[in-house]
Amino acid sequence: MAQRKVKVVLNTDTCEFSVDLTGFQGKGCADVSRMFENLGQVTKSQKKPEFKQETINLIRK
Amino acid sequence: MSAYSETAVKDFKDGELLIQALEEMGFKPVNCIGKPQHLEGYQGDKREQTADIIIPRKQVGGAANDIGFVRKPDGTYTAIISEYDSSRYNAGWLKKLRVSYTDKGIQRQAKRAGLTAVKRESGKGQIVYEFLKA
Repeated sequence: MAQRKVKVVLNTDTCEFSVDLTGFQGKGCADVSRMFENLGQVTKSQKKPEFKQETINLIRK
Repeated sequence: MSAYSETAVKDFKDGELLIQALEEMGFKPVNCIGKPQHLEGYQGDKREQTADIIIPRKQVGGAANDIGFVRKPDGTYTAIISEYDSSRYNAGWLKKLRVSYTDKGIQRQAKRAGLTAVKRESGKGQIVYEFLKA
């Protein structure tokens, strides 16, 4: 399994932060994202291909 | 990459984090969340306003008034700062407080998500964190 990494960058001028998750799949990815998003208002959110692939697999099961 | 998101922190939604942020800025705030207390003026007089988190006037400065944070019906906290103290405790101060609040929040949420911190670097206008999930 690929290393699961989270990079967060907080802009100290605007108080906005980005969260970049690598190596996560499916629900685990959404759960970690949500933890950070709870701190404020989400202005942008993108699911990446590996996330979608896992979602498709779960539905097929 | 699995996911990417951007989040803006405009309000103080979490009293516990707000207290931690104030502590980091050198204050010892009084936690009376849920049991708001009256603020004190510079002469020790009780003010009409109440607050859930209070920075006692002696910590605010000489001849200063208490600074309070009151919990609004929507669950967010708003600052009560007297006109006299607002020259020092101004928008810039509130911005610093919001950054400290968000910094604490990111680290706490990462811990709650079971992540291990491997990096936290403060640079030009940003703080970069890296976490690993076992």
